[in-house]
Amino acid sequence: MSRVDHTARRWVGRGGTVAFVLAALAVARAIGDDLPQTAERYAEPHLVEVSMGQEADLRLAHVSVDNPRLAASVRGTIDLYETSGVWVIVDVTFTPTVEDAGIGYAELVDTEGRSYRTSRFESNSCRVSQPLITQRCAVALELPVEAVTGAVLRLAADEFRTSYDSMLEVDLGLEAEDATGLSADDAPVVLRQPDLAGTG
Amino acid sequence: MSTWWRRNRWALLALPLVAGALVLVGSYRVHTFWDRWQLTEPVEATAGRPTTFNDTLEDANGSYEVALTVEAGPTTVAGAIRDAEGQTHFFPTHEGTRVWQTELTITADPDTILSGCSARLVDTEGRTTHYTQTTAGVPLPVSPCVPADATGPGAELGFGGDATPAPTRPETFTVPVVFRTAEDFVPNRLDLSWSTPRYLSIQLDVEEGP
Repeated sequence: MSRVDHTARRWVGRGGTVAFVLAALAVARAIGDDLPQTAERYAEPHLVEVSMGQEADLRLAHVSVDNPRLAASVRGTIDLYETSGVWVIVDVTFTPTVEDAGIGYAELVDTEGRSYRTSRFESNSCRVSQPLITQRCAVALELPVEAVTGAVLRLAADEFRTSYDSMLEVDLGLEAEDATGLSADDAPVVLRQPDLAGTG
Repeated sequence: MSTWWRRNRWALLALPLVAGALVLVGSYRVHTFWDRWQLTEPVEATAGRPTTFNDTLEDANGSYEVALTVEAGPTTVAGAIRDAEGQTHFFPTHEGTRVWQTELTITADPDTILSGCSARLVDTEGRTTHYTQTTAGVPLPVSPCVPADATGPGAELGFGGDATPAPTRPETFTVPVVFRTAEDFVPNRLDLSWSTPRYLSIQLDVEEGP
């Protein structure tokens, strides 16, 4: 075997390695672009799924939800709120564990993944509470009647920043049929206000 | 395989060192993004003993120094507070909670800007609650560190306009700091801060009442 032959074969071998590495990088990029970004996944709220009435151990508080019901109108301390859809009202009980905390974020997610956030000034009566002081309050969210079946409620501490934080998720177990027969003439559901007036 | 390990032995040995060096090189981020913006530099104090605290603050007119001497009295369960007009307000009672009061005696140059102060109460388990105007159930002053009727000068916030000058603050004054906490929350420290990261951390003398 000549020396020239040997060198040529070595270069072909190197070229093959380079081609393989480039091809592997291209494939990895093509797959990687379609996978969820790890940084985004870390930032997603950490969902803590509980059943109705069961306590969720969130980062800053123990939180539970009960008494889900539907209504055509709700009454806060300031005003009466009507809706062209239907109100979903739940009672919320929470106890901060390490520092002052509240329930700033409330959202309903229907089976299609559509999101319904707090829409009125008094939609969320929860205020900030202090460590170990239990607060009882209410959240009222409005959504179209056809979105009621299978909707889940999500609650978290901060209204604007939910990333990297824990978030309660509870299946409300409500059906669209429950909304039939509701009328704006019915007595409005009165939203539960925190016992400790003027908190937070 | 053994030849591969042998051939790369120095690189393999260096790997943990390089990884360690990378962590060290990136550690400035803790300082840049965390330490400076949190209360991380306590000045230790004890109730009943005057302690001097100073800090460099900044407002729209540039930076300025504050220097003050703080002496905390005993921390007691309070039933009422007397406001600036001398009127007594009773704290509404609420099942499972107590209202704690600590009197601070502060000495500072009346020209020092002291009104932008935050206070937080830390219990023996490290739980914290912040001073707010509303938690006790009666209206409290915005700032827990200056007399409500004689706040002295305020920071220039850069909104323009010139508000009516605040009444002059006496050089030495006593203000009550009030918190509502849960029954099981036993106060341990009272932290006062005007900015981050420096703060005055007072070890409290707690008198658990009847």
